[in-house]
Amino acid sequence: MKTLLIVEDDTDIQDYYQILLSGLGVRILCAYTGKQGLTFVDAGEEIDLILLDIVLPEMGGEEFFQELRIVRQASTRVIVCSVDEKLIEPLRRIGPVQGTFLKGDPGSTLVAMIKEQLSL
Amino acid sequence: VKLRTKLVGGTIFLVVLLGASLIYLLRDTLTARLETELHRRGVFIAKFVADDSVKSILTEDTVSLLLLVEGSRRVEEDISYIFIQDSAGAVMVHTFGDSFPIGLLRVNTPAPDGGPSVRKLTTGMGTIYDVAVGVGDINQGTYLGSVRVGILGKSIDEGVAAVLYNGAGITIACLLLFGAVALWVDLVITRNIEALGAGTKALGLGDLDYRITVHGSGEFAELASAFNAMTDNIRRSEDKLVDLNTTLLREVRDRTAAENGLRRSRERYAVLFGSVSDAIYVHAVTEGGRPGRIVEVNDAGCSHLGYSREEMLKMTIDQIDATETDATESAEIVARLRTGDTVVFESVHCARDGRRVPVEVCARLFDLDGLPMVISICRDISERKRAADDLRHANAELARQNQELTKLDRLREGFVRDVSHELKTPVAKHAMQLEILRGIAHREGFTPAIAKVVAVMESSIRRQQQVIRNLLGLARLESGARGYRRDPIQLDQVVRGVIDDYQPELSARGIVVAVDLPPVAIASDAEMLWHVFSNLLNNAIKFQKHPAGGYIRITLVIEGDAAVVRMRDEGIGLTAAELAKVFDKFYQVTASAEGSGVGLTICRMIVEGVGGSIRFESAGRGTGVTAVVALPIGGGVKTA
Repeated sequence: MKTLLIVEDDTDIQDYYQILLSGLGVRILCAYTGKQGLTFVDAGEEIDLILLDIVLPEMGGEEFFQELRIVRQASTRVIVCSVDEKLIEPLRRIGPVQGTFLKGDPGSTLVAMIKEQLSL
Repeated sequence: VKLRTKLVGGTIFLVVLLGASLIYLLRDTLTARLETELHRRGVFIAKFVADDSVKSILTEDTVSLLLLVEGSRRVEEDISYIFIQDSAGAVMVHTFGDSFPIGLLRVNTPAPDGGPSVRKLTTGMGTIYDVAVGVGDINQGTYLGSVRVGILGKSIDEGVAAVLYNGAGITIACLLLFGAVALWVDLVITRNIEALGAGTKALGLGDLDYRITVHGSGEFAELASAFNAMTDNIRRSEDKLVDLNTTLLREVRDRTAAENGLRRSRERYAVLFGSVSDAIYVHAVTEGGRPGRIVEVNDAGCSHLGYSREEMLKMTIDQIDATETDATESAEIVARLRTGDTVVFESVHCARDGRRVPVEVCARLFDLDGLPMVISICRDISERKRAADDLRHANAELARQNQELTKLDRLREGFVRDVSHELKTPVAKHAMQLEILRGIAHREGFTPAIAKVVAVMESSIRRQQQVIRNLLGLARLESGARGYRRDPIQLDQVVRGVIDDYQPELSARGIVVAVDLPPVAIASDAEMLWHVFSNLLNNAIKFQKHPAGGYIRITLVIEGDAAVVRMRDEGIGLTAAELAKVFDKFYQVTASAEGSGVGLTICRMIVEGVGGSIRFESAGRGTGVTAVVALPIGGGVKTA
């Protein structure tokens, strides 16, 4: 079973993602901050895909992505989720991003991207 | 008058005078001699007749007398007449024939002693010499009468005439001879003299090309040759003189030009030297390599430190140098100067009033009459120093302000980002929740009322998203946080992408979109253009005449060097007044229109930002609107 890590501080949006992805048959891990997300990574979890919010408490999505790509040299696939496409640009400068999802766009778009990334 | 004419004229005159004189003299002499001879012959004939007539007179034998006179007259053909008179004067015989000229008796008589008497008579027959001789002897009382003999002077006239003719002939011969001589003289002497004269005259007039034609040989030919040789020599001498003169003139000209150049150079130097605002000192160098006495200084050099020129020329550079350079530094400078380099260094001069003047010295070593000299151009850099200090302070202040601005920029960026996040997140959450609601409704029953509520909410959320996107986009554009790119893009695909994004709403509203979008590649910013066409299409949908249905036509054509997109709707249209305001910030056509009022403002900012233009065309209310966006094919992104 594929494992998907959701890094999102808004519980409503976390719920939205879980409802949206409930039918995909993937294991979902949830982190509320970037630091929590890294904990999962550092704990050796086999994570296949990360849905990464950008504006997060403690450690933002940009810092998390830097730690992931630069510090840990991890190639874990990441779909960046944001309400503003402008916020995604700094992450692209850090390393490869496999997908972007603008919050508010139809959820089917996100589902399609996840399916593609996880080969579901 | 030509010499030839003088010679010929004078000689003719002399010859004629000589001939005339000779003829006159000969005529007189000959006449005298002929008259003497005629007298002698007349006297002889008269005496002969007188002697032979004595007896006949005494006998009054007139016949014998007549025979005597006739016979005597025939002896000489020039005897004109002979007649004898008796002692009483009566004519006894004569040779006149029938008429004796009585007047002849009075014109001559024998001398009182009976001797001959000769009279010259002018008659119609010419000159006649009448000779009267007495017959008998008066002293012895035997005077018997007289004999008269007339001899024609024709022989004298003929002799004189012959002399005259001969003299004239001689004179003419002399003239002819003279002519020949004159011609010879002319040929041999005069012409050559004239030729020499002409040559001399031409030479005198400076014609050195004149040459005398040499005829034959002799003294004149030698003289002409010598003249020509002399002219050649003069010509050669003149050529040499001309060459020398040309050389001399050139040298003089060159020298004059050099002197003028030197003078102008000196003048310029003096003007430059005097007018330069920098202080210039020319000073000697001591044997030890130290700066020596000042030998020249300009006005600025004097005023620079407050000394008079006379005072400065008694000073050394060391006396005005206030820097505390040690011997090593001075030696280094001198060593660099000796390499021929121009040495630039900073120093401090001490003015007469004690002021310390920072200067930049530009020094160079040169040779002046065998002595090493240094010319130092000293620029007062007090202002520069102050300006440098001011610049340092300004830079520090600028750096501080820059830091502040950077901080403010970060704050602003953070603010925009936060605002964006705070505004968009609730709307996004609404959209997500609505999506969940739609899912639940699908699973648990979707009544028309619920469907309508969901549709209205979805439409409302989309508009909210558009409004927020526009407001934030405007904020970003106005702050300059977002620059424009010039990437190769397919404009037709950008427009098609926008249509695809709006397809759900277009379908929901029943609006038909007709497109004519041939592939067109331009250099521009696809993301920003998406906003432009998104806003335009949103307006075209929003301002349809009716809630349902409608028609929008979108075309793309190349016009010149621009790609032009036209979006034509059949909506409510725009009045002229509205057309003039549509791009104004926060302007809305209708108060009830939902939107931020900045969409078209953003459109114009973006289109102009990528070097294009945008306008709306409408015939008025109810006629629909055509939005025209022209974009440069090669890209025209504005630079900051």
